[in-house]
This record gives sequence, structure tokens and C-alpha cells, in this order.
Amino acid sequence: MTSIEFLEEFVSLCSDDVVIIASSGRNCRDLYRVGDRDGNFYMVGAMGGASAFGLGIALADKNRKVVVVDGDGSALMKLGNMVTIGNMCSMKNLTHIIINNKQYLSTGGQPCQRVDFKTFAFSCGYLRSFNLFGLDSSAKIFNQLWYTGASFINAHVTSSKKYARPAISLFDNYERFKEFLRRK
Amino acid sequence: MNSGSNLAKKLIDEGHTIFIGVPCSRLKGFLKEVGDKAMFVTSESEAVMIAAGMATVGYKPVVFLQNSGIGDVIEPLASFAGIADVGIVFVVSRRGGPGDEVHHTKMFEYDKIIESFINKESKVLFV
Repeated sequence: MTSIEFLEEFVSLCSDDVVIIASSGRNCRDLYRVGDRDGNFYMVGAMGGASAFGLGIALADKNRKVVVVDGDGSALMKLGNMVTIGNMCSMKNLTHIIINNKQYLSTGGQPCQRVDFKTFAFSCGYLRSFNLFGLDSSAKIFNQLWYTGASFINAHVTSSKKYARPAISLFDNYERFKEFLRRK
Repeated sequence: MNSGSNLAKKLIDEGHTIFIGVPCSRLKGFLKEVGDKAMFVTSESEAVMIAAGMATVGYKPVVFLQNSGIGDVIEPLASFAGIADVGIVFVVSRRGGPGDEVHHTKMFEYDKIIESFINKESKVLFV
């Protein structure tokens, strides 16, 4: 399963009102490649901060489903973010995904440190936590998201080819995203 | 009543309903007044990003920290929250003034750098 195959499958299940935040690096390129949408935010800066940004949105609007598409390197940089998410009660509108390629792909494929993210997410307090190794088991896992607390998917992927950067500036993306979140 | 609690009252009166950050002994009075509107997180940079998410939806979040955490907030501000129009109010307690402990004094010289990463929607209050 490549990262783009996983994302295509997952995004196809998200309705237009679902927020999807991609962490800096390859996830931004991959999410943009899958398809630009008003609910997408490409977090090109703030290394490791996408998960906390997603938590803030999910806390501020409990009726909004929020998906964070994180990387294993990004998550490792700010592991405390996962502790906070897991400690929050009733974050049923938050799903945190790690696109786990075991490397810093954007900077040349240097190896990441390893941790058992599925177990770690459980110990932080996420109520549902899964390893996903291939698309054949994805439907079973996707059907169990949006439970009574935050959900977590550790998606073990191989790398896709390097797609183009999002052709929308950070500022335009942010203004569009803000307007999307405040639209009634 | 100390100045910290007055500041908290003022911010609450101005419509700030959520305060996110890392505690400091000098913010004790402030945090007591904030009460259950406070959310304590694992790092200052995390506080910035949670606040940014809430501000994007329409909240008016306050991030509180001791100046020793300034280094941690610079990156998320410089690459995102301080350059896009994200409105965050920062309350920063300043350690390291005359007579304070030696491990705080160097940061006291640098901590006002946070003001250079703040956009028009945000402000910094030193206490």
C-alpha cells in the first residue's frame, strides 16, 4: 500500500464537510494530489504541530469531523501532542492518522526512530487505535472511527512518487480554510 | 488581589473564554482567576497550535507561558501562526530580571523577540 493509495481510499470516504489537515512535507503533496478541497489545510510549517492544530479545531467545533494526516517523523517530534489528545475526553470528532514510512522522506529518506504507535496511542488515552498494513482491511477499520473518543490509525505505507507541492499559498489556503470553518 | 488576577479578569471580560499553556509560579494568581477555563498542555508550541485551531474556528484563545518557553513558540509562529492571520493573545511571565536566578537571566535578554513574530491579529502581554 503506497501513501497515495491509502489517502485516496480514505479521502473518498470523507464528505465535503470533513476537515483534513496534512502535516508538513510529503503529506501535503500527497493530499493535494488526491484532490484539493475547501476543507483541506496543508500545514507546510509548524513542524509536528498539525495534530495540535487539529485538536484545537475539534475542540472548538464538536460537530466538525477533523482528520489529521500526520507523519511518523512529525508525530515523534511532538509526542506530547498525542498525550494531550488522548487525555481529552469525548474527542469523538477527531481521527489522527500516521502515514508511517519510517523515514524523513522529504529530506532524503533518513531513518526515523521507531515506536509502537498503536500501543502508544492507547496508552495516551485514544479510545480506538489500529495498525493498518493494507487496503484489504481498511473498510473494517474505517467503519470503527468516530467512536466516543479520539481514534488513531498507524498506516504502514511505502512511498509514493514525489508529487507537486500544493499550488495554493499558505495565506490563501488559510483564508479559504477559515471561511470554510465559519460557513454556516 | 494581585495584578495577575486583574489581568485574567480583564481578558475574560474582553471575551477570552479559553486559556491554553504551561504554568509558571508567577502566573499563580492569573491561573487561579482563570480557573476551569485553563487547559494545561505539554509544551508551549503545542499551546500555540491548539490556540491557532480554536482561533481559526472563531474563538479568542489566550496562550500563557513563562519566558523560558519563548524558544519553543518561535517556530510555529514564524512558519504559521505568526504570519497567517491567526489571532492569539500571549501572556508571558518574565523571569530573569535583576536579582533573579542565573538560569533565567539570559532568556530575559532575548524574550521580547516573540513580539517580532506577532501579526496584526495577535498581541503579547508581559507580566
